[in-house]
Amino acid sequence: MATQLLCMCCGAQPQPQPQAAPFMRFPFWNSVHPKNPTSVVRVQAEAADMNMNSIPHVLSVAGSDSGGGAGIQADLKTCAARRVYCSTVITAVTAQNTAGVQGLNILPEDFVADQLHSVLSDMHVHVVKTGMLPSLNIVKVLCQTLRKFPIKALVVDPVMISTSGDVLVGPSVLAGFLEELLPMTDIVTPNIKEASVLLGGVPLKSVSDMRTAAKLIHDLGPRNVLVKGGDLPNSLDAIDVFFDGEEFYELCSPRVNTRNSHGTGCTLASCIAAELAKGSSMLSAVKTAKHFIEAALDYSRDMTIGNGAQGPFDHFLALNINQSSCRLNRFNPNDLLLYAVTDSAMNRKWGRSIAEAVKAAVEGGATIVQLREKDAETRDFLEAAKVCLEICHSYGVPLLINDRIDVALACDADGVHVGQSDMPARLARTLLGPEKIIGVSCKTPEQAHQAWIDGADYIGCGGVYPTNTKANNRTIGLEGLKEVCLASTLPVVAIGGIGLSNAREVMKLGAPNLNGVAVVSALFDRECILTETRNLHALVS
Amino acid sequence: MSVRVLQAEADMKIPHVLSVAGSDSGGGAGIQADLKTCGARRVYCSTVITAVTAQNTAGVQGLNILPEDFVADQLHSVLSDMHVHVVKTGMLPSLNIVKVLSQTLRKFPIKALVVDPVMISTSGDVLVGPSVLAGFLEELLPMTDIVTPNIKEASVLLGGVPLKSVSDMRTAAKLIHDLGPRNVLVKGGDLPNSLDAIDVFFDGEDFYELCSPRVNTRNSHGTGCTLASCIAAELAKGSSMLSAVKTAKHFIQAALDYSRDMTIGNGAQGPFDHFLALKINQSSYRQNRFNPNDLLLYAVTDSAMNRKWDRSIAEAVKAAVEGGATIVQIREKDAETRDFLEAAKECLKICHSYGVPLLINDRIDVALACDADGVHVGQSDVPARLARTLLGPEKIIGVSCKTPEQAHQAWIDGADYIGCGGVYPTNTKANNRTIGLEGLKEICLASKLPVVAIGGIGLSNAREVMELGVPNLNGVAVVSALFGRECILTETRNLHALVS
Repeated sequence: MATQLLCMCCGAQPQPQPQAAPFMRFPFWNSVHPKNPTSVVRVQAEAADMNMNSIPHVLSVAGSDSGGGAGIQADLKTCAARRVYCSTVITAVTAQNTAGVQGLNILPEDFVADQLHSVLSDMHVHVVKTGMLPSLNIVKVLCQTLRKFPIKALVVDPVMISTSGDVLVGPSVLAGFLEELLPMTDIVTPNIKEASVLLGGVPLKSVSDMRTAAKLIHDLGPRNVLVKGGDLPNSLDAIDVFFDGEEFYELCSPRVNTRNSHGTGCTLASCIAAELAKGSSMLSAVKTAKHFIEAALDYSRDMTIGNGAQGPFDHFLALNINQSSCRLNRFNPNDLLLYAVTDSAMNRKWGRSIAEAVKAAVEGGATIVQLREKDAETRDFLEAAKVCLEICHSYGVPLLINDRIDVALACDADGVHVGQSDMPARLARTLLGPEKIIGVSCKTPEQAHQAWIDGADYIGCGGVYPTNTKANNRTIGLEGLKEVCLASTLPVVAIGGIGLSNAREVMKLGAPNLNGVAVVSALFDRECILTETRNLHALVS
Repeated sequence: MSVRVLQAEADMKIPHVLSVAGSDSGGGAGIQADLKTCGARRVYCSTVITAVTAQNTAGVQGLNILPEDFVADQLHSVLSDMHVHVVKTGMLPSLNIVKVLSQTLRKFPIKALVVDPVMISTSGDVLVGPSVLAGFLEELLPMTDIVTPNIKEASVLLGGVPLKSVSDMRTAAKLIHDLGPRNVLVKGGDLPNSLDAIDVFFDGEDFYELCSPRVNTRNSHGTGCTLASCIAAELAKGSSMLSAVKTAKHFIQAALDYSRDMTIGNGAQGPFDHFLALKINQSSYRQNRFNPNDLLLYAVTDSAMNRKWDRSIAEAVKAAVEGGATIVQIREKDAETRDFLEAAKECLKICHSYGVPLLINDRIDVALACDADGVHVGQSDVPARLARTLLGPEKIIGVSCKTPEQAHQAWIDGADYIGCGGVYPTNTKANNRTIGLEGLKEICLASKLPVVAIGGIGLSNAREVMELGVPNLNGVAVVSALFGRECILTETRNLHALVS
């Protein structure tokens, strides 16, 4: 059998992948497998595949890990990270932490059957992924239920060995795997110890052994086999062997040296399941899953959760952020009182860095700052934003980014302000999450109403007066401002040519919802930003 | 009343919530909702399961209560090892489980206890008997930092008094506070005759009424669990109580709004999407992960050229992929974001209909918003490592490099390929240093990643580039030679024939 080497870390030539047509059929559906006892069921399942509008859905049938790193907990997090819905059938509950397993409570097979029936009869499951199946009766119940409720694919992670090396399943469960489960499996994902158990104890010590094992396991009935070589000694890379019945693929990735590897087996299998549920081909799903694991382990390498030998990793590549950033409270409309909007051309004119300008503004009493950079290179913008964020937060002042959601995400700014030709507010909300502040520029009551519907927090209304800082910008005057304020459900900040000479006039409108003024030139196009800000603050407060 | 001992060291670790609750097989409530909420709020979540239910969107079909000794084992496993900051409780189905929980929390100090008093099923049946209620009142509430009953649960806690108005909710919050919890949040989502969802928060001194628009949706299963676990997550991160409550309410509102038209299950009350992410897969076709062969003929758009030839960017991209371009990068340094986004969405459809990946130059936010296949970044753009964190492991990331050192850094940062150039002089990039064929060769030999050559490449020199024959050189990237021509289709075909 030909070996196709796919080395992800050194970029060697892979076999060209056929370009898939939209809504492609799963290629493995087309294979005729003599050991498949459920061919009629597969044909029925193929019909269900036509429902392309349903949310991709994985059902995890596995144990519970109280430490949250493996079992259904790992599966739920993996599927969420892969944007797939996940329901769960719990087969056993463990009391465990980063030091190991302290207790096990196996659920009655009748109750496992009840859970399976509840989910499969109602919730349009596409793929089932199995983890710990602690008794023969549970294996039987699972197979019976899957024959009754057709699915697209079955992914089996044959959890048989604990981390400490003890065999968890007895001969009867192993027999159930071999006789009932593997023949209906689309992919089985043993590590080298589990592969050895499946094959009656033969040791696996090399990649060549892994290939032989993959072939022999394939003969037991699963359509695809992935033998994971993470535990292989004397190997610089983590090499896994994938066999689809015709071709072998060796998938390489750099080893990540970390204690936080608890739950990698569950996660790999549930990521494969998630990708299949979204319509990926099997090989593509396997490759994506391997990359996902690699990225998550790399991100998590220095994390510390628990005191034991093997901690969990971070499926969302997100937990570290909270260690370094100070979380401001959510938006307060009073923060709109004196809203400073930066302008890099003015800073260059006066020979100031943007950070110096922002520092002077917040020292002078600015209550919120927006960084607006329409011309800067992204990396420069990002670096400046990070510095300004530290300055603002040291004064308890929120920092917003104009338009660039990616910069706001990258520096973890407090939010963004967008105009009518910028990123739509609703999309910004989806990308930023519910906690961030979103402001929208509006000139009309209709735009203000749409901003509220889209989940914005405030409205920037103007230009009230003519200004040099925005080309081709229509002015709406005090009447236009008043009209928008009266119509608005959200708090409003006025903007456009506002300074010492007219700020009081604006605030004296006394319209409800008018919470402050936004200022550009009147602060940043002055020799002393600090003094100017203080004067303005005294005027409007 | 025990004094809370803050573990200063624990504060520096990953924010951590322990959920002590039931399991919902449908994945919408219980520990499942808590895990997803904490994931969305960037907090680690461990779990102690008190009961396992067989349930779906039609309701609950079965219940299996775990022995209290085993609940104690799970509690001990987690609390003795994993630096939990906040505990959040859901279904506590027996008095003994309530006792075991209270005993264990006295032994292992935490920052805060959030109690969602799950007592009423959606259909209205009382789930807890008098003994569990007594356990709540005598043992649990006095050590609680915030309890979050809905109006039915509040009524049960107060012996059955009905709550029909916001004024009743305020009275109830005060009376529940007298039972021992430091804070009370009475949720008014079920209050009749109310246009907004109004909740009453009482901290022992002040009342706050928190309003949000009602979201009309069937997908509200698990909102109670989610609100409480979001409060717990925010507390674990160091928020004040009022701030945590406000954030949690906004989180619920955003998630329900996003999920309003989603369909999971056939029953009356479905779950919602905690990550505001599931719908993307309904509308976009998922490309396979990056294939280096896709670099063969790499088309980079230029809007100035499209304007010159009076073509929309979508028309230009369509011609290029029809002509055989194997990958497309949209580069818009001057466009307004909304225009860029609309064009990107349109081009994505075109590319995917031909099975061709679409990348966005620099703008990670546009790539996220249209769910492009990835991004290409230059040395003055977002760093590749940061791009990887924002985009996730599946997306393609390319990096422009001129030196072997830059190529090595790109590999370390998790990039998928390198764009190497400018090989020849070009009009499309001002002040861009050329490196020539020698520079290209040097980088290809040093690179661990596949390389695409770029810079002034067209029909006259593409073969010369490919004939370098160095490993890792997978293709050529072309701008003017395609998009600066009258017929993009013909030009692309000719180039494709030349390089393949």
